Amino acid sequence: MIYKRLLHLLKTSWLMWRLRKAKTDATKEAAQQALAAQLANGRGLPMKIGQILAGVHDDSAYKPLTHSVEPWKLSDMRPVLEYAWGKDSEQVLSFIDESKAAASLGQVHFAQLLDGTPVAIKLQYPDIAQAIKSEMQIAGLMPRGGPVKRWDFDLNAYKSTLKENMQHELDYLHEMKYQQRFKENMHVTGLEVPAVVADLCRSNVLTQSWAEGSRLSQALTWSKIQRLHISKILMQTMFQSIFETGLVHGDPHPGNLLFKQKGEQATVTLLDYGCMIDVAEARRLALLQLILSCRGECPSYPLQGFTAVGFDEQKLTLIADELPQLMKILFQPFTEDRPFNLSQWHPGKATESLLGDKRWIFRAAGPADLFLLMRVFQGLVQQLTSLDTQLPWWPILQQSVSAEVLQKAKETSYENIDTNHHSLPTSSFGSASLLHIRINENNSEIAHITLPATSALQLESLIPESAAATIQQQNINLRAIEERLESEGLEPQNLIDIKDRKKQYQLWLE
Amino acid sequence: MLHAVGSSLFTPNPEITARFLEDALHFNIQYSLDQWWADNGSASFCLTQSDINSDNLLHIQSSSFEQDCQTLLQRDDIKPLSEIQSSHHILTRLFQSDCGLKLLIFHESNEDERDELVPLPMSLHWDEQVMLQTQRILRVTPIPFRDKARTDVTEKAELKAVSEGTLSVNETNAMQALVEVTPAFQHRALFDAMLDEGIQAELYLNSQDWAEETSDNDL
Repeated sequence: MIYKRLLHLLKTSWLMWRLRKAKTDATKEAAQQALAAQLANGRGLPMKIGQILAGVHDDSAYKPLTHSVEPWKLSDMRPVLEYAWGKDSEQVLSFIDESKAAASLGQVHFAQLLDGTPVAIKLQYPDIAQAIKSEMQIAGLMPRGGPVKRWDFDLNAYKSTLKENMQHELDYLHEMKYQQRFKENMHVTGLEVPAVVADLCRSNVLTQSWAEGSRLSQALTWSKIQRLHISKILMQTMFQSIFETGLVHGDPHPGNLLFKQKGEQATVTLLDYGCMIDVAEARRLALLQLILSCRGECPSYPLQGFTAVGFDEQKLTLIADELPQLMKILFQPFTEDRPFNLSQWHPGKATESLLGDKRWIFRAAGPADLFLLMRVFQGLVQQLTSLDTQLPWWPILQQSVSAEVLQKAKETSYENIDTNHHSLPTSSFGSASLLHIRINENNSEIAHITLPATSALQLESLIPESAAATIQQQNINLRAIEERLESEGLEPQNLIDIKDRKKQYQLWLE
Repeated sequence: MLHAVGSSLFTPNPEITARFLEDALHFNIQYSLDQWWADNGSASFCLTQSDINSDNLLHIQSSSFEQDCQTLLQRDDIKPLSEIQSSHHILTRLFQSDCGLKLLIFHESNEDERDELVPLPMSLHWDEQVMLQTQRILRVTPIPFRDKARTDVTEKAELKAVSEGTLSVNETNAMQALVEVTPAFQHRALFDAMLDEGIQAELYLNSQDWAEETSDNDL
């Protein structure tokens, strides 16, 4: 028996070595695709920064990279499975099919256990972790050390969040535990979570019950009442996740959703628990209290509330006067006691109109991990808009969250926050208000982003890795430029204009 | 800043035309700066003498089309130029006055005159019978307020349905919404409209409320 196991181990090790050697390029492509998927699904300034660091124009530039990668043959992946399980797959499965679709960082196979249970087996591509790390390094997305400049974006924190996100996605045991927790703790009628087969899961293998259903594109053609049911399930899932359980599915895009018709109603199956967001109780209660106070159900403490959610208190004090109105804009769906028409809701424009140039302060004040929650929320808004349904948000939130949690949120109190710093220090800042970063390739602009001028005080963290070599060759001292700006002030001027074989990088203050 | 205040009507005898506008169409007239002026708050004219036959056409909105046409026909200085015409829910009739003005009387029929049931702005699923009953009951609301009433009743009914955990509006949701949106002084009419639809109105309104009111008024 021992010899048999040893022989098996030797055989699978050799097959794995051979696979790694043969699939270097394919692994690299899969890593790029996974990273691109992260950025393509992203929104807002942090993702824009990610894109500029990666030298691409906008979301659409990543879309081609998120096309379906061809799955690898079963004969290539079987050694991966057997190496992970430490036994022949025939000892566990009556059959396993070729993969028809790639998943995040791997691919999915339909299979059947010996007892007849249909399962989905997700297999991770070998060496993908190292490939991801390399791609992130190239794209300048690896976080670096160093202090955060006071008035600017904590770029390192965004990069750290992205890195942590990718690491969790790479560990299928992490995913398994979160999937189990989600299934146990969520109680939404109509929501289905596949059951994991825990003893057949490894860090690179996830085995769960097979789920079937239609895609969102198909569900959009169903009856109004069925679409309303789907919308309600999606809303309840998000509200219960954020406010009750604190366990949020971080990637609810259409590829991770399956729908089934059930008479006049419908069900929703949620897949892929690799990107989960833990929301601490204090933050959940603070966010809920902000909503309750907008409805007049408890006193309003906007500054303390946003700070408790994770916003930077010092930055928020600069816009303390605008926070009450900002709350009304951001939480409008929860305050209108009628079915809410999302297509007529434009919080971005309303925020810009309210804050003007100070909108940068609000964005910079936001915690780095908030962009993951924002992505979830924006995904929900897109899905509800696609489903062409309007529902009143407040009663659905009330049905998703226990009375106990609502009461706790109403009673949450905060320490007093000093609201005396109300103005930016101006003596060292100068007349420039914006920093422009532009990347050209073959004389065509491929990326252009504007940031607050004060971002020029952390040039080193903004320059893409791909430009670092060129900067060094041309003896440009970024630190010296930063120090000069700090002492002389931020006046309109060209800061950097360099070219390498492929690209031109321009930075200037306006 | 430039601000247009009126236009000119060219007529052989401005004073006669002014008197006609005052008498037949209730314009305010005055003689000022050597000109006759006629104004009714919506239209303002400077009556200018001209022997050339100008084709002046006044568009006149009527709320009681048949009655207004009869009133004009009874005047000796007005003759009909056409019969009543109807197109896209608009009734029109053309008249000629002796002072040289043509009058186009028009009336746009409303939903009640067209016997039309305007759809509710629904977001949820409604029981079909309940939807039709609600549309008909809403006719107790005067037309100028009816669009808003339709929206308010629909939104309220749907909010009630979702608050009860369903996605389909039933009779109770709709009737309660109607009661809450309709002003109290119209509750009696609402009660009667519900009964006309075969609804047990006493489940939603207390007829004693206006019975007491009536006896209070009698006192």
